[in-house]
Parts: sequence; C-alpha cells; structure tokens
Amino acid sequence: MSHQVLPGEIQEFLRTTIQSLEQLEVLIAIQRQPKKAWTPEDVAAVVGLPVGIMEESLDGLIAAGLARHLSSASGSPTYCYEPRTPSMGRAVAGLARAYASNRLDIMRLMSTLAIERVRSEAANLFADAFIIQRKKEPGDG
Amino acid sequence: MVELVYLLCALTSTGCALLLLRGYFRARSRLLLWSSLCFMGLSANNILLFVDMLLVPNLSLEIPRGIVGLGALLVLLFGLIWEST
Repeated sequence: MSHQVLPGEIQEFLRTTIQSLEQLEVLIAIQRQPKKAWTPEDVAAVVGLPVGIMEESLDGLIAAGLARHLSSASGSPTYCYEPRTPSMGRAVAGLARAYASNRLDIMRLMSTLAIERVRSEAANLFADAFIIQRKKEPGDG
Repeated sequence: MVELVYLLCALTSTGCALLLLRGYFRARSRLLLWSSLCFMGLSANNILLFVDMLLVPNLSLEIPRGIVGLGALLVLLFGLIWEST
C-alpha cells in the first residue's frame, strides 16, 4: 500500500520513531503544550485511554528522544515534551499538522506499519534464537 | 570424508534444535518449539543416516530415515498451521 499523500519525511518518522497508535496520540497531545508537566493521568484524560497505556507510551517517547522525565516532589512520574534534536521537533510539528488535516492516511499508515512490525518480530524472534551469546551492552556488569 | 559430512549434518541439526529450544524457554514463542521439534527430527534423520551408511552397511534404514525426516517436516507444517489459526 502506498501513502503518497503523506510527505515522505512524515512516513519515515512514523516508521522509525513511533511504535503504536497510542504513542502517536500521546505525542500529539503533549506537543500541543510543550511547557506543561504531564502526569499519565493528565494525558489519559486528554487522549481518553487507560492510564497504564499512557505510562507505557510516555516511556516509549522518552526512549525515542521525544520527551523527558521531570523530577516530581509528589512521587508520581511527570513528563514533558522535549525533542532531542531540532530536526525531531520539526518532524513532530509536521506530523501534528498532517494529523490535523489528514488523519485517515496516518491511521492507515500506522496500521500497515503495525502489521509489518508483527511480521518482522516473528523473524527477529527466530533469528534471536540462534544468537549464542549477546554482546555486552555498555554499563553491563 | 563422507563420515565427517554426515556427522557435521547431525551435529548442526542437533545444535539448531537445542538453540531453538533455548529460544522457546526464553521467549515462550511456540513457533520456536515447533521448529525445535522439527530440527530434533532432522537430527534423528541425520543420525540414522550416519548409522545406515557407516555402522550397519548391510541393513537398509532408508524407509525409517524417510519416515523420520517426513515426520519432522510434518511437525513443523502442523505447527505453522496451528499457530496461524
């Protein structure tokens, strides 16, 4: 399936950075108010999805370099939108514009990407079974 | 030389079966279990080949070898169909 309507850089950004539809919804929500400290409950109220999924999605955005943890006195985690690089910020801004004007195509692309991921996960699982010993990550014992 | 090839085939398929079984216990993906069972069958097939050709040359194990090899592939085929439904 081709997605000619969506600009190539947005397609690439969704393919490489955004793992799920929930994560996309969370990203769109938090980038609207970049100065706000978001709790998962705040995001859940805006997006309309369960809090547990919000935490997972926010952690995914941190791993992707699009958000960061804020220190919180209350103990509950808070997050803010903070792209790691200016180019990521521009990509998110473009994505937000496309999301507002062309949501259907973005949904279609996300569905296609989700199917591709499921397929490649099966292949990765198979390939991983033949790894005798993993390389040590920096920071491992 | 032929002995070495038969032996290496048996060792490789046994190694694959063990690695896939280890992968199953780690990831709990049944596709890996079916694949491991298939490679166990292929390993048995290769061991039978070694025995047939080198240890008991007067006795033909062609049919048992064929049954074991076919069984191994049928296990994988069954697993693939089972997991997809």
